[in-house]
Amino acid sequence: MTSRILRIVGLVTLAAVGAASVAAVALLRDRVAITIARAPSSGARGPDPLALLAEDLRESREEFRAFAEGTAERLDALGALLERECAAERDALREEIAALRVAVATPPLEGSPRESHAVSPETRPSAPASRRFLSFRLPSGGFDFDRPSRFLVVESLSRVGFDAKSTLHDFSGATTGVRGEFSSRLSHPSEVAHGEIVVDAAALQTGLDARDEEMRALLDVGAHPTLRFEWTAFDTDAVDAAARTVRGTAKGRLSIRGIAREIALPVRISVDESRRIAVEGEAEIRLTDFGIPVPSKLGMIAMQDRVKIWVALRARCAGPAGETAAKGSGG
Amino acid sequence: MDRRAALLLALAAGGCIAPSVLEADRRAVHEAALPSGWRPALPADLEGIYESIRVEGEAGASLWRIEYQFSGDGGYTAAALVFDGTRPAFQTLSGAWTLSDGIVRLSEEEAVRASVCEGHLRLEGEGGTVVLRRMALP
Repeated sequence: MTSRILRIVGLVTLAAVGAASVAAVALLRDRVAITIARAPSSGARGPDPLALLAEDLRESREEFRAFAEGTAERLDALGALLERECAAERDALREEIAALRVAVATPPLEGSPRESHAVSPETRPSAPASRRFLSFRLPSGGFDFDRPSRFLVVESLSRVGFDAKSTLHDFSGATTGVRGEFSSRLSHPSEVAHGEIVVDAAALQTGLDARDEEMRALLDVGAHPTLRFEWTAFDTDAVDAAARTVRGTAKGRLSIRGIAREIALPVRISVDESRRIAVEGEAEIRLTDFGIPVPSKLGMIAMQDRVKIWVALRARCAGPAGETAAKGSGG
Repeated sequence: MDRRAALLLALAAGGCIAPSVLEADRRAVHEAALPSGWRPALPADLEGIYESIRVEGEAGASLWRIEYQFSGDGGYTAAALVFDGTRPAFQTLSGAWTLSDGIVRLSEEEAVRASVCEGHLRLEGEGGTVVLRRMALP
């Protein structure tokens, strides 16, 4: 029933819409005019495709030019880099060839009346600039007064000792049993000044066996076999670089019989003919400052408390200050 | 009484015992004196084994020790302990020597003056002077 009613309503609605449309066309037919006009002029239309194409072409050309310029710069830089690397490699090769030429056999002596043999120096390839002396390759620098250097005491050419005064007579005690090392920049000795000198206490000799025996007992060499001077500072009085001499005061701690005291030791430093340095100096100490009883016999024969200690060292440069080198120089 | 005797003994002994203070200029240890009377070396002088006892001049800074063996047939071999500024290292050589007018040539580019005296050989070059002592054949 319901569907029949809806179908009827639908048909009625369609008929009404159709009637209304026919009526509207009838009413508006004379009021509507359709005009077809010509297109407006070209200036009012969109951009010219040819112009756009030309613009694109111009922009592309500029981009290409910029790319080409950038690439050229990069290629130039790359070329320069490669050239530098090649030059460095070439120089390294030249140096290597030169070193090899030096290392290989030297031609036989010209005009030698005897059979010649090849000279084959076995040297370290990393050696610095060198010169020939007796056919050995030596570094060209020689003794460097200005370089901070480490010095080894040449034991066979060094001696330390003391001068004492007594009621009977004055005497010295001395020994060559001294070793040690120190660092210094001789041209500016206050800048680099440290090291240690060690003396074999039992090796001190005064020339009298009985006195030596008593001295060893007083120094208690069994418990304290060495006397030590730890060098910690240097006060410069004068430096003569041309004459290779230095005057000043070495400061540090002197240890005797296990007791350490600060001392100041005025010294003179020079360079000998074999390019070793010679250090000579002296200072006064008091035996009692180090806990050493002043020797006395029967209260009548006595030593003085004040004793002059002295050093006469020879030392050889054994490398830059702060570096380690083989110990024990040949003198 | 003991004190008086000791005093007398001290006074007497003081007169007998000479001072034994080492003079300041004798404190340093000096190298053995070299012989005197050097003369130019002749070829016949050179044969033998030598060890350096002294190296003087700028070479002394780097040439710590040197030994030579000169053969009668004109060959030689040598070793030196050379300090390059950082550490010592040995260098060895072997080659030929010639000697005339007191000048020994150890390589094409180097000639040094050679003189001899009492078992010693002295070689003098631009870098310094080396004094060598003849060694016994080991």
